[in-house]
Amino acid sequence: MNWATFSIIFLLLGLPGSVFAHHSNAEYDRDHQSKLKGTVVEFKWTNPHTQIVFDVKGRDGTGQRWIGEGPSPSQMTENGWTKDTLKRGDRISVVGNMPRSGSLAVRLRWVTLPNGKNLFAYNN
Amino acid sequence: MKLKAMRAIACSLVASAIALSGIAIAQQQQQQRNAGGGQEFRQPTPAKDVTTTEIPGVIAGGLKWKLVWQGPDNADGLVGAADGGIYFAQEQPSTVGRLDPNDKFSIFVRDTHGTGALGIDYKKRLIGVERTCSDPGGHPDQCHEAAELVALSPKWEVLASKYMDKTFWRMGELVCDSKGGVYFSDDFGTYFVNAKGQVSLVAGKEVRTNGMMLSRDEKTLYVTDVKKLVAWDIQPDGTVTNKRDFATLEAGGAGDGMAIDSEGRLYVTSGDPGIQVFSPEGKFLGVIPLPRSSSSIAFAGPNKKVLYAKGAGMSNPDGTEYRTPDGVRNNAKAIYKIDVIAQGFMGRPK
Repeated sequence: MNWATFSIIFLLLGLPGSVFAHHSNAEYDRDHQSKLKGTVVEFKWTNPHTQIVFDVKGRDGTGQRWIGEGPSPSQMTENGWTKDTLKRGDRISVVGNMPRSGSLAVRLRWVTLPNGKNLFAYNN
Repeated sequence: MKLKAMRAIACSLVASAIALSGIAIAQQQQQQRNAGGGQEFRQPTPAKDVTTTEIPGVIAGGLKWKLVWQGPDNADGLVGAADGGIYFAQEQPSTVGRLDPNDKFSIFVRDTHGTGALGIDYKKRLIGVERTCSDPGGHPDQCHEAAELVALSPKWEVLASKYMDKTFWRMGELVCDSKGGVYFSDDFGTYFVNAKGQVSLVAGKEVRTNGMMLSRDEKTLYVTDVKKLVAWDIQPDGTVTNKRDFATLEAGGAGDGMAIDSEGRLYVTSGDPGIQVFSPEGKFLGVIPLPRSSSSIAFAGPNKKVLYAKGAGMSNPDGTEYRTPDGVRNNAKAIYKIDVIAQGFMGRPK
């Protein structure tokens, strides 16, 4: 292995793994819901959970990158979603449950699309 | 005035009598319905157009199931046959149906006493769990034939008929180990019978067993319990210990028939949500949607690289949904198949 390859691997290991980490449903506060508004960075139509990566601007103007986690694609399809429902740059608002850990993740209950339509993610 | 009042009272009394007799008739009809046939039965959900999403190592994305069989007379307890076809139980006509490797249908066994699920044991016999006349869509209140665990083919043989002097009722599911033992369930519990015919209890009604499966090394028994999977360690004599929650059906639904692949991943049918896949450690890996509400599944085909799954309902030739009259249970089922990346466990038929 040459040093270039080693450097890339070292760099990747150093990145926050939580960007694409999956939280178990039990790690979310299911008794309370919060609302966030942001801009889509990526919409991941994947098993076992769909994900919306979106940037939220804080009150102080700084940005935060959040992960909205939804159920499997087949469940999302039942609620009217397709793999093309969202694209990079879409402005959305999401309502969901926050993790007890305080990390920048939200268990999606529903999402308001750019056209104003609401789509449920988790049904409960 | 007095006469008018009396007429009004008389009319009221007559109207009340008519109303009360109408209510009585309706109640009598409802009781007749609830006593056996004529219950309220929901029609199956119509078929959906579904496409798979990739589950790495399990199934590719963008695939659609192929319908290979449908019929009004039930299909359950699928098991892969040695030639790559499948067998399935048809409770109400008391038959075992077979799809050959080209998906051609035939009746394989008749007069099965309402067998509702199948396995293949270490002697390569076709094993069945009976439901006799206990079908909720029939007249279960008039049914007095106990259920038995039986070998159906090549020769009929009773493998288990009672536990502690109590006969079985409406058996649900079974899985055969490679040493002559069978785990099976009925409406009142989950049991194990060894090769000598000795029956022991795995769990009572506190576990609502519907689907069951053995790990590849046959040291773990998995059982569905509505919204979760439960597991036990299996002792050398086949009895179980250390009951624990193994996984949760994260996509919802209620657990039913299961399968296991060569990597130890579990495939759990769960009704409308589809087939939920779990790692050997119980981690949820994703959902394989099925066009119809799923309840039984089996690996078959060449090298067990084809997944067969059964769903509720069927279509008429004109494409409309097959429906039964109110009060008549709709037993129509459809069997689908799909190519998978995974391979069914080759160490046992199921």
